[in-house]
Amino acid sequence: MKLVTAADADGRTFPGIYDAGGIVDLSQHGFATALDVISADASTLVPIVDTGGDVMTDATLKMPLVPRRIIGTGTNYRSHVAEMGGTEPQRPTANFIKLPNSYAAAGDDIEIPPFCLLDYEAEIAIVIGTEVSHADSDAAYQAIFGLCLANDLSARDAPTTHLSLAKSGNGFCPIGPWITTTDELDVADIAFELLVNGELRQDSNSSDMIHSMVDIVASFSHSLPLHPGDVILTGSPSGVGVGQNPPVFLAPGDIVEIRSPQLGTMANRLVSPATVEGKP
Amino acid sequence: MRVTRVLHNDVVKTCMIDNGALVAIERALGGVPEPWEVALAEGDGFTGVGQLPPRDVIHLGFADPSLVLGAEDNFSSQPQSRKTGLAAMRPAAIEPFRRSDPSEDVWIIPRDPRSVAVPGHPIVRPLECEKLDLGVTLAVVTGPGGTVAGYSVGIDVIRRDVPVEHAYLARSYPSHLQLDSALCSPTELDAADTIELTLSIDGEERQHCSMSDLVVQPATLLASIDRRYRLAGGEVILMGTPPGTALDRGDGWLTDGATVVAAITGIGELRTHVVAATT
Repeated sequence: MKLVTAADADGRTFPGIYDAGGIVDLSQHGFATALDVISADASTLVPIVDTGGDVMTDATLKMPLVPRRIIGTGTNYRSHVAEMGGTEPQRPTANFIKLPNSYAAAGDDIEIPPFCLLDYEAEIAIVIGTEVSHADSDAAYQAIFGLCLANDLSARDAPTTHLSLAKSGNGFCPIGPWITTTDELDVADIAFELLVNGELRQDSNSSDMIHSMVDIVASFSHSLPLHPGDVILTGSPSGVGVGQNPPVFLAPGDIVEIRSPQLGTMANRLVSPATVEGKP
Repeated sequence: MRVTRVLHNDVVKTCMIDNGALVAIERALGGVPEPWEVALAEGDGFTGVGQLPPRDVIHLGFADPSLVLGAEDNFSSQPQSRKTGLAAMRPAAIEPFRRSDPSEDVWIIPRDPRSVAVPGHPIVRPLECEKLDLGVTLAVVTGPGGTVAGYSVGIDVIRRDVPVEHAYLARSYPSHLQLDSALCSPTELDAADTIELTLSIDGEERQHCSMSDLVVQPATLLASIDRRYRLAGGEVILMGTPPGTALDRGDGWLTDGATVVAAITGIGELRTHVVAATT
């Protein structure tokens, strides 16, 4: 199942199931939000997925869910550790979060703040489906509702002591385009790549992670209970802008596209602050 | 001026604390203001609408923040850095872009806003946690644009039993941020060198430090944060905790039943205790 949040022509938002033909409106089945769907007993979803329903073809995709919070794992690909000049962590890290104003959707324009050296980081995002604490590997896997793509946009002019601030400008965490449930995935083999204006910059696979997604969930759950709607970013591979020689940063007009054969495609345009609708 | 929020007859009300009495206040044109708005304005533009009997109210605390950020390594007398994980690293790739600014050496770590305890709720020790630590902290509440709207006393509780790489998770357990129920106007705070922060556990003083020991004072730290993250009104920024934590001492972890008292000169005193989690 590919879970989306969509809006119809009247601006009404609703959770839905996406397929190539359109979107099945889950609000007709009593679900008000994507979190309601994520939190539901899977058995209630099976007949809906099997039988479908009225398909909408003119809805637009929004952020697939409003995250309860987004926790960031840093330094989880050896190639990225090498290009940044850091050291490999012995355990999954939870050193930063993406603050709520950073949440954004595929397709959103994202403003580059003045004097900001903005960089991209393609990542796979875990969406937690059940409350979980002190999980072993099996319980950790069962707690994962699904995966989506994310861009962990980062201001490189900020020090690592201010990491959550550096990663939490307005719109600095687009996620999308939908959440693919784990029954359709091999979480240890998710390919993804990132392109800037059509130029390939990052190309990797979840199999390259230092700590697997299951290990991350299990490790975090021993330190703090995780809840439905929590999102965990799982780190970015090599190829970020600051790792280029010389470093390159995002500029207004750039199109950043992240695509995965399993998780879909997500594109965002970078803009200067003045061109974001409704803002000065 | 001291401000708080209470529930009275199932209605949330903002109150001024006047010699121990609770006086409900409203906007001049009606409506209940946020406590930080009243504290920032020193009450100007707001009207008292009657005293509330203390027995008839439930204290809600002054804050319902959407954002809580905490500082670490913000006391110059701190014997050794508390930075861990990525914060302790200086990756070569981003080193050329660092600024020479003392506020950037202060580690800023978010807490889950759901970790803020309801007034009167004790500190809950997770069942498996044998290294629970805490410290007194000056809690700053923001006005718009990174201004200081008010101050309060805070107790910042941190799990030291979890991996050091889990800095955010270690600071986000429910009940692990204790705040005094009252918010003080900025003018209540005297000069930094006259303000002392103290914390005792079961009568034993563990922390005693002057606010003049802060590496970065509140207005400067808020301005530094606001450069990267636009602060709204009502957010909570913790200024860090002085030396004397169990981590610094190597012992003295919190135990069930312990009574903790934190105080800041001119701001207030916060008393709480520790209980074990039931599940």
